[in-house]
Amino acid sequence: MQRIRRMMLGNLPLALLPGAAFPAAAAAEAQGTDASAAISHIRRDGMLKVAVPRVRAAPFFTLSDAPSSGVDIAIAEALARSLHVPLQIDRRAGSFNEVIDQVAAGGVHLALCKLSRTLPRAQRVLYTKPYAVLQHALFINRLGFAALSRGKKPEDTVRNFEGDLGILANSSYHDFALRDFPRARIHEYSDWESVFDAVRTGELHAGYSDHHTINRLFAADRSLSLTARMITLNDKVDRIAVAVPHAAFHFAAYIDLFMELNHGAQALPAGELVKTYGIQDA
Amino acid sequence: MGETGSFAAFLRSPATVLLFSLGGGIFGILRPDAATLLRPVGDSYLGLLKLIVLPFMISSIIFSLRAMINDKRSTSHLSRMFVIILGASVATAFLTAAAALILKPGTITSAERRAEIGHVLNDSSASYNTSMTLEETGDRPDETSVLELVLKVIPSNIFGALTDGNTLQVLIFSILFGFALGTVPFDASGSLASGLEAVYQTCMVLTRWFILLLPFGSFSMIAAQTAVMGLKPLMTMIGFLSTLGLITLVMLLMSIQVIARRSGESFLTALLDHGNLFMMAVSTRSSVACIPLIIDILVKKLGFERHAVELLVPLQTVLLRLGSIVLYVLGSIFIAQLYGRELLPSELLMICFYAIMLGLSTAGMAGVIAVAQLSIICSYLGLPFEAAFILFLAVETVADALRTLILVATISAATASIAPAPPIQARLPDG
Repeated sequence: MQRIRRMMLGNLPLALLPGAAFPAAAAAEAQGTDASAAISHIRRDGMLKVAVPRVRAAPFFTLSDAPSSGVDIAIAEALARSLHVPLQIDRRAGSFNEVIDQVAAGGVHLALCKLSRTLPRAQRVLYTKPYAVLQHALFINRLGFAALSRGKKPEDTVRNFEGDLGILANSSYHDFALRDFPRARIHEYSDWESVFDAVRTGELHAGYSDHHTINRLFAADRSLSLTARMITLNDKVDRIAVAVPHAAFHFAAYIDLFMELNHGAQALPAGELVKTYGIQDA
Repeated sequence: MGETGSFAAFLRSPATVLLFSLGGGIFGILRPDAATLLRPVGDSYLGLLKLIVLPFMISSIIFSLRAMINDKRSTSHLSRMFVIILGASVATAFLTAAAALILKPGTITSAERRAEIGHVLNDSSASYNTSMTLEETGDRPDETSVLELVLKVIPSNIFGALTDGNTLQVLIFSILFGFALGTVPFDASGSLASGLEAVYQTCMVLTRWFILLLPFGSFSMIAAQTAVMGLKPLMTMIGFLSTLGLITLVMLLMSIQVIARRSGESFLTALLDHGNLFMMAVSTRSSVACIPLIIDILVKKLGFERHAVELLVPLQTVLLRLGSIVLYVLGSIFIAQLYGRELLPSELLMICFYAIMLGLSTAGMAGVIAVAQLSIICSYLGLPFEAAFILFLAVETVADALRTLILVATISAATASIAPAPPIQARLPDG
């Protein structure tokens, strides 16, 4: 099913837009004929087409069709305004890997959707500099994990994890799980909620995701901490970047500058991005 | 003089101490901010009580061992003591397991109650999130082996042990020194024995003075403890605490019954004689601090033979750790029930065995560290400990007070079972 939402410029917040008032002079300047091929392409299309998968990944984006909200949506809106074109969020992709397919095939101008950088993906698309940084974390069923680490230190159990590990299907965590927990039995689920339920009921020993996503579960359900816990892996960091078609070097550089002007040159943790873009993170 | 005497009797009365303790509890709940300010007062009082423990222990053990070394009964005292410690430990472990299996304090199915537990857990930031590196950093802390732990009780420097307040090391030194002194010609050791006797008697006088301050000490300590803890964790852990309370009550009544029968006194008299001891146990939560008072009650009030009591009470304070055994058995079964894990009979036996072994290691250990030892049993059983640890910590003040009550009551009862009983009409008048 095709899920496309057009966003009109008149509805967008202005705070993050360079030349926010969108004056005619600025538009005329930007409409010059010496723009790069990628930006000319966007102008010809008359909109900025951004791919976001049909999954929930708050606070980056929500699952609902309209109005979708989140850090990535706010950035995409501001980016479209900087290019003086309306934004079109394309939610046809069912997974993060399908989003990469869309970018590689040229069906969208970019993917801005909590996208992890992996080498297989980098062979097909071009990544911008990371704009967000997330720490990897395990969401753990306490009883199952204790049975798994019987007589051993929890740290050793994690380092030699041999239990059932849930991940989001067709996501970068498949590669991460294979790399970080080669002895684990990996189970893929279509959405993170299913991984969460499977861990909570004891079907899985643990789920693998990022610290911010798991922390939100504990904030939402206070009783969860009795049955589950989180182990944050300090040395495993997921740097989130925007994917553009592999030849769009100038467009990637443009997005890097845009991000730097908006929230600095450093990739920010999810919590700080939420504050920067004024997103409700509940 | 008469008025001073009656005021002292009023302060020494268990009813007065009970009244002040209750007042402290109410004050802590109603005015937590003001009650917290009383903490230094309570701490100073506990410091006073502990001040005399080490000289008391050294003088009483060395003096008693010297006196008993040529007494054939002393060997039988010690062998009886070990039999009683083993029997009481096993009986306590089984009693606790039976109570936990029948009362099921950890079976909490109500979503509301589980949410309340979650709230208590979430109050602690470390309760659900821990951090680590996936790659080994290579700076793993050196692990202490069981053998090293055991060998640590042997003091290399008695003055160091005294400075550190290491009760176990001082005890080992006193026993060795007492045995050695017993082999020295009686005349040669006479002056040292007289000196030790003077130290002992002085400590007893100090104990009686400090008892006069017990109502105020109890008020301050209990007010500060209640203020910090609040009522919410108590209500959340009501199942665990009421099971622990019931076990404590049963063990306390059984102990008093044993003491009454051995001393020839009525149950009520034996109970009233121990009133202040129980209040001191609740407010100080330190069995070591109660040693002088236990000896005072058994010797002066109930007329048991002094040398045996003086030797047995400090020894059993270290070896008869029934309060800790109750904690480990009840705590393990509570956690298993909390997570809906059925325990096999073999696992229950393993819990009892480990509880007895671990109980021995808790002498002189702070309450919180003693609770943390429960993780050893949980690890063997494959039970999660971290969340339950936060819950236990939330109610540790009350649980520790109950455990100390068990300790002092059973130490008194075990000593009464071994020490030669008083002849009829041997009771000394109070004061």
